[in-house]
Amino acid sequence: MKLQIQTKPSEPTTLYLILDGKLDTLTAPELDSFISDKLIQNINTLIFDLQTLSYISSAGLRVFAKTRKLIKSRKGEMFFVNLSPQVEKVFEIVKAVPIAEVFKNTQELDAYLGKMQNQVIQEP
Amino acid sequence: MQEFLIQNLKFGHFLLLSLNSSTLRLVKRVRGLPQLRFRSITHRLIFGCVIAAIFIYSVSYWEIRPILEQSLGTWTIQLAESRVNTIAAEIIGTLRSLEQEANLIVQTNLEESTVPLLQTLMAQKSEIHAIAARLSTGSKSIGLGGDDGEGLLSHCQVSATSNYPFWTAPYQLSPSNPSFGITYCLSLQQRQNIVAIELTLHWLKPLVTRKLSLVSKFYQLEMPPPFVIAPQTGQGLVGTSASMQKLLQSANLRHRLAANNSGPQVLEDSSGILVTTSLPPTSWIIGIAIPNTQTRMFAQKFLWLIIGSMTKDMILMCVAIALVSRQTTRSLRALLTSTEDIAQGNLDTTLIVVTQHDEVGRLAKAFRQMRDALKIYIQELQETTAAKQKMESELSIAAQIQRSMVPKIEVASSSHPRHKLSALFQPARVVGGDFYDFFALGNDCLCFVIGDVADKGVAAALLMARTITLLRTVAKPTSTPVEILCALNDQLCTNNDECLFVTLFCGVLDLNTGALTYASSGHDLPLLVRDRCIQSLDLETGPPLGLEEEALFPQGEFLLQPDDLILLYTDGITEAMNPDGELFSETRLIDLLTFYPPANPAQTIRLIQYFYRQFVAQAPQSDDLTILVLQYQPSSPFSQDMDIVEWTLTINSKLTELERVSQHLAEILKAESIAVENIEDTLLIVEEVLVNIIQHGYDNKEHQRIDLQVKISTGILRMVFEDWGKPFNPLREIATPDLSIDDEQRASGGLGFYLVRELADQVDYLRQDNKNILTIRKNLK
Repeated sequence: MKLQIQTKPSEPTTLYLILDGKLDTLTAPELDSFISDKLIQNINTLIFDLQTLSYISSAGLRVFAKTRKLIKSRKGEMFFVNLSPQVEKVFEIVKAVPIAEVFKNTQELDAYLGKMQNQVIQEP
Repeated sequence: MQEFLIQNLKFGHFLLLSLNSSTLRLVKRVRGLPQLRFRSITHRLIFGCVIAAIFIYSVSYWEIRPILEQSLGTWTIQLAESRVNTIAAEIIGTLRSLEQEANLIVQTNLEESTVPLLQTLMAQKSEIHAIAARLSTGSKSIGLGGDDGEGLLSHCQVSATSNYPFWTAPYQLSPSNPSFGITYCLSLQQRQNIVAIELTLHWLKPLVTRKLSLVSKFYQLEMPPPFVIAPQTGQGLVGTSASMQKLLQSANLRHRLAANNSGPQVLEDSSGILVTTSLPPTSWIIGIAIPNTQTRMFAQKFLWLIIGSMTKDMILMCVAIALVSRQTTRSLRALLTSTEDIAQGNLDTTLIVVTQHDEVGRLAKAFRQMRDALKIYIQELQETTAAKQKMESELSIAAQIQRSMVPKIEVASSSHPRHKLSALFQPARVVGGDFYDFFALGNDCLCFVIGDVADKGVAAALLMARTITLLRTVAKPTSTPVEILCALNDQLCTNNDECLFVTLFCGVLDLNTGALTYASSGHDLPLLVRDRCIQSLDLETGPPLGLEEEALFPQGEFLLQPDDLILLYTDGITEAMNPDGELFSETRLIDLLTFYPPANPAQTIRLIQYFYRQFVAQAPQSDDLTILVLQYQPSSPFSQDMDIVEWTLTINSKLTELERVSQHLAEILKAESIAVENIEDTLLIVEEVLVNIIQHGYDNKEHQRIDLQVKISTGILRMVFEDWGKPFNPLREIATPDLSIDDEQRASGGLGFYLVRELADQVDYLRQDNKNILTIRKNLK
């Protein structure tokens, strides 16, 4: 299988996906249909762990863009973590994702999420 | 003797110290279980014996103890009995002697002499206090010693029915004299005439409490002093009043007293043992009361004595064991020191001479033998290693010489521009039996040869050297391959007792016409690469050189076209083994060349090397690897750039083809040692371009052709995409996406081509001959 998608258990409103392999024109539709299935109504946080994703092309970017649009419509958020060099380069060229949504490693992501949660609690 | 003692004193001191320190190390926890470590056999022995002794002695003690207690009980009683009897006998003796004397006086004497005799008696016996007598009826009483006799005589008239003579119960002598006395009353012929002899009892106590002479302090049971009581009045004559009270309260005792048997009685109850006997004359009871506490204390003392003795035994035994063990292990310790010394590398240590014939002695002897054998062995090993190293250095020189025997490529190519050559020479061991050669033959011909000597190693190398030298000698400017082979064969057959042989392929190429003549002696025929097709040159081979004199070799002829590649190889490549034992095989070689048709000899060599390495992986090289590639190029191009690599792929316009193309391209690029980042970028470019062509140029129509030509020269990668679809210029038709706006509004197609433009250094489009031609150049960093 060229692309494998795994879910990692997380908060009930969070979907944590680990992508493994290549995300090109042939495998992008798989990811698209997977996300449509899994992105049920109450999910408002989507995290992509791309540590083992070695390659991405424009088709993959398109799927991310589409998903991002969907998440934003729910007032949710989408994050990327553990980008490999090729993916990072491509993201940079097309300015695919705001810098705020990309994290170098899981520790930074957790720290950010933790901070966000605290803020939510503190807001009246 | 003195030295022995001193040595063992020192040992004793050492033992104490070492026991202290070794106790700390004694218990080591291994996986939760305590495990004892001993630093010496002696310690182990002592420890073991102590444990065993403790166990054995405990068992004995447990068995002995009840027996002991019982015996002690019995002994105590017997002792008490004998004591009581002794005292009773003495008291009775005293009383009886008095009785006898008195009776004697009274019965055998007349009235007149009675009184003086009585006086004599009183003077004799100190215990007599007073005597009174009424010698005849009606006469007055006579009192001796004391006051009037009436008072005394009145004691005797206690009971009318009492039989004379008798002893009275004890009574107080007088109001002023609190001590006790008893009276012996005798009667004369008539009942009214009586003699009363009064005794004090002051002699009683010393008699009773006198200690026995035999005293052995430690083993003596200290019994309480005996008591004497007169049962008639319940008075205690000797003995503390407290014990007397206790006894009188004892119901059993009263019962016994009533029975009044003679002989000692033993009474045991919860508080102690009571040994009593009665004194017939006066019906006194004399006894000893031994409280339980005292018996127990005595038993304790005895048991402690036994334990002490056992402990002393154990200690003495330990000492004995330690001494014997030390003696025995002395030899072992000396052996230990020697072993440690040897381990340091000093094989010449002095070993002690052991005269014992037991295990230790035999060990020492065997050890000595081993040490001697080891010395010899190491010496031999050193000699062998030195010889081996010398041989290896000689071999490596031989390898260098062998390498210089085969011609180098650079020298050849520059002077013969009508062909290109590339070669690979990799022996399996330091020196090998494969070889190749090429040289000019006459003005216009090139002779090229590849050969394989039977076997590998030094023998093969020597034959290889001979053959290659012979080759240059026998080849004349007009020789044909067959003539060369025959001449070689003749030479090699002479003096060939070992039957070593050489397989050889020889080809002569006329560089003007491209005519190739060739012959083979048992060697695999070369492969021809023409227009990306592979074929084997056809020929029946002759026998290997060196075996048959007068052998015949068929000759083959073939016409080469420009750019034809000839690949000569030995079985080093076809019989290469991977770690699973599979052979590389000719099939794989042919497939390889079919899939990745090489454009020039250098590329061929690189290609084969890459796939050979991949195939063989960790397995060792099993045979010499030798490859020679020749390309016929009659019209030499203006610039010979050896570093250009070209590939062409034909692609079907299906999106699923993308995977095959990607993989293929990745392998080609890896084989050319392109950097990973460049490979990734290239693959991305190719994918995006192909997707665009398929989707826009062909509008997703399948089975349409796309050609991709990849050319790699120093530092630059060039890709040319050709398709026969509708005119489509991506540079103009695809709008640049506006990246500043939010991504959901970007044109979806533009993103792919945008990536291509960013990753490539130059993109050109051309429409020619009904084809879209897109050229992409990328600088390789």
